[in-house]
Amino acid sequence: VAARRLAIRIRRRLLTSAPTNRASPSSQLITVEYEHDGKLRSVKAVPLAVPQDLSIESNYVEVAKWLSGLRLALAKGAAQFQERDQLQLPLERNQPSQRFYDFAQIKALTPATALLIAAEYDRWQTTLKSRLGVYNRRRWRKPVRRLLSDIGFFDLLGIQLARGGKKPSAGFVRMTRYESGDRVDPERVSNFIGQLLNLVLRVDERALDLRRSQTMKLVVALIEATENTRLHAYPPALRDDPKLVPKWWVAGAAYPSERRLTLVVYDQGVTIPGSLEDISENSRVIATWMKKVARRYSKMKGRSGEKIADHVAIRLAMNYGTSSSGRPHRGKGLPVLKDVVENCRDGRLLVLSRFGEYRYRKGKRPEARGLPEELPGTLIVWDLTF
Amino acid sequence: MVQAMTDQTIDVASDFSRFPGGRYKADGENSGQAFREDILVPALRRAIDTNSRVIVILDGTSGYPSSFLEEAFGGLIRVHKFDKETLDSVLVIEAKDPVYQPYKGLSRRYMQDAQASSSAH
Repeated sequence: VAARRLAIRIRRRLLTSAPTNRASPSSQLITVEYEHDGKLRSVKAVPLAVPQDLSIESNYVEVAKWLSGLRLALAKGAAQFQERDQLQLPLERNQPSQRFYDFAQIKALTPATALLIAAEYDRWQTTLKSRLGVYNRRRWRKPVRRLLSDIGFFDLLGIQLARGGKKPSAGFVRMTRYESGDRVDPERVSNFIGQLLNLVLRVDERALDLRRSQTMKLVVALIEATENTRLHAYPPALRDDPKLVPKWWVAGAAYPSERRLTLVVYDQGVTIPGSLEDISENSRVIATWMKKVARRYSKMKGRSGEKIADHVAIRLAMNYGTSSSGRPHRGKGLPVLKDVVENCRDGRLLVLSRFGEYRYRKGKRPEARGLPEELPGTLIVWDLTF
Repeated sequence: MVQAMTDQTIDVASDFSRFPGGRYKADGENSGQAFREDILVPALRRAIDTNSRVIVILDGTSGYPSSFLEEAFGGLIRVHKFDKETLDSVLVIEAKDPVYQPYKGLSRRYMQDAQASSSAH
C-alpha cells in the first residue's frame, strides 16, 4: 500500500507540474472560493490563464488552444480520480485541484464556446460519475455568469444560484438551456426550435407559410445534424472508449430585437474529415471520386497517397452530402444545413471540424480554410435573421 | 378473381408520429425503418393482394429529414424489392399543404434513386 501511495504521489506531482497549462503571470497560490455540489469553501490554488475573448467564431486559435488545455486538465483529473478508485484508496471526492482556470478573466463569451465548455464538463462528469466544481464564481463577470447559467452549466454541476438573478443576458435576451442525447429525437428538437423561434417571431406571423416552412427546415436541419452524430461521429471502435461520451449537444440564443437567433450543435466524435477518411479504406472507387472532386477546391495534384485537407473534405461533404458509409443512399443530410441559411432573410453557417473551417453566408460563395489548431469534434453554428 | 377494395389511407401525423426522424429503429422511435416495416409495407402487401391503393398523407408533421424519407420510401425498393412500376400504381403520396410539397417530391426521388441503384447492380 505504501508503494502504491508513493506511485500515486509521484504521478500526482508529474501531472500537476505538466507544462501544458499556462499559468497567469503571478503563478502564485491565492486563496479562492471553491464551489462543489452546493458546498463552498476557501482553498489555495494557482490561477491559470483563460483568454479574455472566448469567442470561437472570431478568436479561434486562442480559444481552441485553451479548450485543448481544459480538456487535458479535466482528463488528468479524471485519471487521478480513477487511479485512486482502482487502488481502493480513500476517494477524495470534492478534492480541489491546485491549479484552476480562472473564469474571472473572461470578458466575452459566445453561446458556441459556452456550449463547448458545458459539453467538456458534461463528458468528464459522466466519465467520472462524479460532479466537478468551479472556482471563484462570484468574481466572474455578470454576463459570463449569466450566459453559463442560462445554458445550464451550473445545473450540470449541481450548483444552485440565488434566485432573482434571471434578468436577460447582456447582448441577447435569452439563451436556451442546452440539450444533449445520443439518439435522434425529433420531438425534443422540434420543441427546442419552437421555443427559440417563439422568442424571435411574432405570434401573428407564425402561421404564415413562409414561417412554417422556415421552422420546418430548421427542425429538419437540426435533426440531420444530430443524426449525423449518431451515424457517423462515433463509430463502434470509438464508442468503446471509456473516456468518451458519444453524445450531441445543442444550444441556442435568441436576439428578439434583431429578429435573429444563433443555434449551435456540437459532438466530440471523429469529425467530418475523419469520417470521410474511412472511405479511402472501404471504397477505392469513392476515394478516387472524392480526390477528383477535391482537386476543384484545392491545389491537390492527384498523386497517390495524397490526403484531402480537412477544410476541403468539409466542403466536399457540404456540397455533395458524401457519406462515410460509402453507400449511395446515405449521406444526403449535410447540404440541408446550408438550405436553412438560404431560406432566411439573412444567415451564416459556420462548420468547424478537426483542422478545417467552412463558412457560408446567404448569397455568397462558401469559404473554407485549414486551421492551425485542432477542434476535437464537429461544431456547427447557424446565425439566422428572420 | 380478386375484387378491388377501398383504398387505405396512412396519415403519417396521426397513424405514425407528428415527429418523424431517424433512419433506423436503433436511431429513435420514429424512424423511417419503423414506418416502412410496421406500417407502409403491410399496407402495400394488402393493397397488392386486393388490387387497391395506399395513400400516404405527409401533412401535419414537424418535417421530414432526408434519411427518414430515403429509408421509408427508397427502402421499399432497396430492402423489400418492390418494383418501381408496382409502386407507381399502388402507392400514392400526397401533400395538400404547400409547405409539405417538397417532401412529396423527395420521396418520389428516393424511390427513383433506389430503382436506378438496384438496376445498376
